[in-house]
Amino acid sequence: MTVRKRFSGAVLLAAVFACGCGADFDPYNRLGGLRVLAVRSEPPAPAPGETAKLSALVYTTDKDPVVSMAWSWCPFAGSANDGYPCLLTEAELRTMGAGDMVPAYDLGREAEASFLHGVDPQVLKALCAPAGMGMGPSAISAAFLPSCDGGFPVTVKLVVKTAKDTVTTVRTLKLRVDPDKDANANPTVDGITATLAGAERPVTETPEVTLPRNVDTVVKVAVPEAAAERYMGKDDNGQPAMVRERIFVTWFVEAGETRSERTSFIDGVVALPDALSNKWKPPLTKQYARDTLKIIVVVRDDRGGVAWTGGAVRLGAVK
Amino acid sequence: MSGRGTLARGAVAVGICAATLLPSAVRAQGKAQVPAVAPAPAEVDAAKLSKAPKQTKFVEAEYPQEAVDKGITAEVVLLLDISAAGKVTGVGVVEPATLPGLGFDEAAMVAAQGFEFSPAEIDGKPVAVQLTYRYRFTLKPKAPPAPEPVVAPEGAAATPIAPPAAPKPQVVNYVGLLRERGTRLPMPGVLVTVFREIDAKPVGFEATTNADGKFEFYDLLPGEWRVLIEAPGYYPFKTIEGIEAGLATQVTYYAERASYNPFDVRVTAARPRKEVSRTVLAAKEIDKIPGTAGDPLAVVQNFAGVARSPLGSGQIVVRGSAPEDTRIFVDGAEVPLIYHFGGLRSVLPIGMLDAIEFYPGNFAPMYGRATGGIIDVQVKKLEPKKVGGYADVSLLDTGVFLEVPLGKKGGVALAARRSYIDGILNAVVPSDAPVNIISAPRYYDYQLLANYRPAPAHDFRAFLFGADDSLKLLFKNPADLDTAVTDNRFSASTSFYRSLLTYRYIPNERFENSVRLSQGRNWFDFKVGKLRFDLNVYSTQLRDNVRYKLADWISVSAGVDVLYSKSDVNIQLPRPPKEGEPMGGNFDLSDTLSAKIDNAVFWSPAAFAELELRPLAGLLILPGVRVDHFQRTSQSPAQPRLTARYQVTPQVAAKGGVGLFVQEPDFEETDKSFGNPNLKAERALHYSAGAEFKPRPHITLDGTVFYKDMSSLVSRTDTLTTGPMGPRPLVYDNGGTGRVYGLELLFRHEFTDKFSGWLAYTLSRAERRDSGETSSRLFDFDQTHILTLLGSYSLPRNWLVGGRFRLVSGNPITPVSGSVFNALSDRYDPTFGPPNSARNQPFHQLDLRVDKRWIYQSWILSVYLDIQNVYNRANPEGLNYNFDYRKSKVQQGLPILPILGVRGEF
Repeated sequence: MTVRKRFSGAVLLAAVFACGCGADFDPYNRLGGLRVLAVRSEPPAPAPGETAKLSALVYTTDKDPVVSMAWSWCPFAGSANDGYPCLLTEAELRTMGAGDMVPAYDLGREAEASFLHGVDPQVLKALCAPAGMGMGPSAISAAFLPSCDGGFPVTVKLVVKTAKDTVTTVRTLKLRVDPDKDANANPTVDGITATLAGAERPVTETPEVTLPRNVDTVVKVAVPEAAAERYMGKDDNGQPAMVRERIFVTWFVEAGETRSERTSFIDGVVALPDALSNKWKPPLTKQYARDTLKIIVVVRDDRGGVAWTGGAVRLGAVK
Repeated sequence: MSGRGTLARGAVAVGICAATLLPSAVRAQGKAQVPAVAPAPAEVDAAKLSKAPKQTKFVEAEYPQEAVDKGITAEVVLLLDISAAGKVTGVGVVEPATLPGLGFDEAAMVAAQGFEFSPAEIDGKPVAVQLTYRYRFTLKPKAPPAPEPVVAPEGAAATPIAPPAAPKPQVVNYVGLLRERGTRLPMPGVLVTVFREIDAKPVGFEATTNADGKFEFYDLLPGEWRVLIEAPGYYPFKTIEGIEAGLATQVTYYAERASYNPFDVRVTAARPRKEVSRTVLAAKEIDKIPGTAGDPLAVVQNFAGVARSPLGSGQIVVRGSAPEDTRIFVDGAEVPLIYHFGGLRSVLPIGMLDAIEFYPGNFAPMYGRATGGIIDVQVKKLEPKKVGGYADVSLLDTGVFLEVPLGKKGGVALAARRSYIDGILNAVVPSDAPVNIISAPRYYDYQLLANYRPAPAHDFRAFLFGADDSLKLLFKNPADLDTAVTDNRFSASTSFYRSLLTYRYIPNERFENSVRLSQGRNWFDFKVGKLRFDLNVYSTQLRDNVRYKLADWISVSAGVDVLYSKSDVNIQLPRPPKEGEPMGGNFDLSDTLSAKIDNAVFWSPAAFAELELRPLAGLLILPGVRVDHFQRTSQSPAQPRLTARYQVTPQVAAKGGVGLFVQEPDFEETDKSFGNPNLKAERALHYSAGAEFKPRPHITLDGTVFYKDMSSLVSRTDTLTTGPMGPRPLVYDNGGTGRVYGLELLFRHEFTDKFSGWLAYTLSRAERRDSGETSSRLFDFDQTHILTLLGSYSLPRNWLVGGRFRLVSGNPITPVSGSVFNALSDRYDPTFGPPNSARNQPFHQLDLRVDKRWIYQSWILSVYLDIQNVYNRANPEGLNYNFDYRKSKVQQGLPILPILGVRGEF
C-alpha cells in the first residue's frame, strides 16, 4: 500500500485549498464580459412524462450583446477533459430502446428551451444497474459511470455567442426514474438588500440605493428557510439518512470586492443567515468611473435547484 | 602510555606495526605515472621516477584493546597520498581488516596521517605520489617499560639523557589526558613531547597517548617543562608545565582540530563496489551540503539520475520511474516515507545516520518489490566514546540528540524533533483570514538506537523510530473550496513507526549472517467532509542474509525477505488521476467511490541468491535471482539479475548489468471498487553499462548509460469486462508500456579536510504509452537535462562555505485548450490538449551555505545560514489559470529563502 502517493496528493490538495493560487487574476465573481451565470430547469429533476423548462442567466455588456443561443442535450457525455463530447448518436440512442418520446438532441435556439422526459423508466433503471453497462456501444458504456442518485443524469449543453465571444455551458439534468421519489424544487429568492445606517434597503433593478465607494456594505439575499429542503439522501458516511439540502450563494458584481465570492449553508456547519450575507466594497471612482453598479446573486441547492435575482445600486462619494 | 623514552609502550600487549611498501601503482599528480618504492611491473611509467619515496617517520598505531584482549592480529592495506613535501595528505583503505568493527582500519588510518617520507622525485624535482601501504598489526609479549633517551623535538638538538645509574622505582610525576577541544573525545596515539634545557643543552622526552587519551611521564626533573603536542589535523598545542619535587602534576589538555565535523565521525572503509551504479554519501559529507537547510536526506535529490521534484512534493523520481516505484529502506527495513510534509524535512536526523546508499537501477537481488531505484539509509554504528549530543534550532523546528556509551561494547542514542510552524502561522495569520489554522503543518519524529557487541563476531542492534505529521484547517467559508465540500474542517495526518532488531554474526572471514526483524505501523488519515482516506497498515518484515565464501574466487549470498501486512482501509474519494493525466483539472469531488476493508492480510515472501565470482584478477561477476510472491496478483515471478565489473587498472573499472525487476500494482489499482482486482505485476528490464576512473582515492569520474524497458504497466482503460452482475468497467489494465534511456555522469570529490563536492549530469528521456494508444507520450517527470554542481570548502577559523547550482529542464505539462462552464458545480472545467505535449521553462537555482563553528573547551557552537535561490530566480513550477482558463501565469517556485540554524554540541 503506497502511503507516499496518498500523502503527497493530500498535501497538494491542502496546498491548493490553502494558498488561493492565482490571486492576481480577476475574481470569479467579477463580471466584465460574456458570462453564463446559471442554467435553471423547472422542475430541477423532471419525472417521467414531465417537461423541464430550461433557461439561462446570461450576463454581457451592452456593447457586446448576445447574438445566438443553442440548446442541446446528450444522454452519454464524455470526459470533461474533452469538453463533454456526446458519445452516442441519436440513432444509436433509438436502438437502445429509449422510446419514441425522447426529444431530439437539438433543443432549439431560443432564450428558453423545453426538455420532455420521455425516456422509458425501465430503460433508465436498466442503465443505472451494473448490468446496464453493456447496453450501449462498449466505448460509451465503459467511459460512462452514471451516479443515479436522484435520477439518471443527462447533460444539457448551451452555447451562447456574442460578436466577440463564445461561452459553452453544461449542466446535468437528473431524469427521475420514479415519479414518487427524488422530487426537488428550485429555491426561491425574495430580493437583495443593502444595509445602510442600520437599515436594510432593497436593491432593485432600477438603482434606488446609493452605496459609498471603498466602504464595506453588508448585502443580503432573502431566501426562505424552506428553500433548504429535507430529503432522504446519504450522510457523510454514505449511509441513508434524512438530510437537508446545502445552499450555495454566488455573489456576482460588476466591480468592487466582496468578502466572499460564494457563501454556503451547510446544515450543522454554517448557518443559513451566514450564507445569505456578504460584504461588498464598491470601487473608487478612478477604478470605476460609472455611477451605477449591478449585483447578481445566484442561489443553488445541491440537487440541481437554481434561482437568481439581481439589482443595481448608485455609487456615492468616498467617505 | 608512559614514557621517558621513545614511543613508550605501556600496553599489556603492544602491536608491532610492520609497514611494507607494496609494489603498487604510484601516480605523480598532474604528471605521468611513476612506480612506488617497489615498482609494479604493470606500471609502464614507473621508470620515470628518479627517486622513490622513503619513509622517514613512522607512527605506531594504537592497537585496539578489544583485539589485544582477544589476541587478534590484522592487516590493513592503505592508499596514501604523499605530497611533494613528503607529507601524507590523504589516507584511504584499500583492503580493510578481515574482522570489521574492531578498529584496526581506523587506527591504521590515524597513524598513517603522521607518517613522513622523503619526497619522490622525477628528474630531481619532488613530486606528489600515491602508494599502497600494508599496515600489519601483530602482538608481542608484554615487556617491561624501559626508559630510553630520545631525540628532542623539532628545533632542538637531540641529546639523550643517561638513565639513572642505580635502579630505583619509577615515579610518575606528570600525568595528562589529551582530549579534542569541543567534542571532549580522547585522542589516542598522539605524541606528547616535553622538553627544556638542562645545562644549556636541550633535553626532551616523548610519550604516546593511550586509547583513553592518557599519557604519563616519570622521573621528570623539577622545574618548568615546555609541552608540545602536534597531532595531524590539529592545531599545535603548546604550554608550559611546572613539575614540583615530590608532587605529581595532573593535567587535561584540549587540542583544537583544524576543521571540525560536528559528529563522532568514524573513518570506515567503503564496501567494495559491486553494483553498476551506487552512490554512497557519508554523514560527515551530507551535513555540509548546501541547499538542504541542514537536512540530511534532502541530499538524495542531488544524485545523478534523480529528477528534481516539484516544489513541496517531496517525491523521489529515479531514472524516469514513478515515485512509488522507488523503495526506501532504513537499515534494510522498508519505510513508507523519509520526508515530513512536502519534503520539508527528513524523518531521521543526521546524528543517527552513517550513510545513504542510493541505487538508481540494477540493484542486487536482496532488494525487490521495486522497478525504479533503492534508497537505503544506513543508521549509525554506535561507538560513542563519551556522553555527547547536540541541540539543533532552526526556523522550522528544534531537534535534540544524545548518545551514551555502554561500556566499551555498546552505546545508546536517542533523538527527537518537533516543528513549530503551526505556532508561528497561528501568530501571524490574521483573525479575519478565510482559514483558521488548527495545526499546520506540525511534525515530529523520534529515534532510539542501541548497539551492543558482546564479542567481535556478534553485533546486536535495536532501532525504534517514527514520525508524525498533522495538518488541520478550519475554513470559515467552505464554499470557497468547492460546492461539493460538505464540511469546513480539513485534516490530513500521517504517522508511522518501525522497530528494527538486527543481529549480525561474523565468526570468521568466510561466513556472515545478518538477520533483521522489523515491525511497524503506517497510518494515514485524510478527511474533508465526506471525502476521506483512512489507511492503517501493520507490517512485519523479516530479512535474513547469509554470505559464505566458498573459495577466494567464489562466494555465495542468499536470503529470504518476508513482508506481512494487515490493513484496515476506509476510502471515499473520487477516482485519483493517473500519471499522464492532467493535475489540477477536472476533479469532481461529488463523484466519489467507496471502499471499506477490515483486516486485509497480505503476504509477500521472497527469496534471493547471488553468486560472487572472481574468475580472473579484477573481474567480478554477480549472477543472481530473486523470486517474489505477490498475493494480490497471485504471481511468483523469478527475476534474474546479472552484474559484472572489471577492474582494468587500479584506477579504471568497467561495469555493466542487466536484470528484471517486478512490483505489485498499488492497492487502489487492484481494489474491486476503485480498480481491477485481476491486474498483474508491473515489470521493468534494466540495462546499464559504464566505466569509472578513480585517479585519486577521493576523486571519482563515473559514466553510465542506461535503458529501462517497462511493460505490464497499470494504465487507465475504457474496456468493459463481464462480472457476476454483468458488464462493468475494467478501469485499469496492464496495457501500459514505457521506456527510459539516458546517460549519467558523475565527477565526485569525496570528503577531505578541505573540500567535498560533485558534479552530476543526467541526460535522459522517459516515455510512456498508455493502454490502447498507438503512440508514446512523455512521462510526467521527464527532465532531459539535470545538472547539479555542488561543493563545500573549509576555510580557516572553522568557517565553511558551500554552494549548489542546479540547471534542470522543465517538467512536461498538458496544455489547456479551452474550458466549459459547468452550471451545477459553478465552475469552469478545462479542456486539454495532448498529454504532456508542452514543457515548463528550465529551472536553475543557486544555493549558498555558510557555516561557522566556535570551539569551546567542552562544547561547540555552530551557526549556519543556508540561502536558497540566491539570485531570486522566478522558477516555473507550472501554470496558474484564471477562473475560465483564458489567462495563465507561471506558478513560481520559492523566492530567495534564507534559513538560519544554530546547533550546540557537547
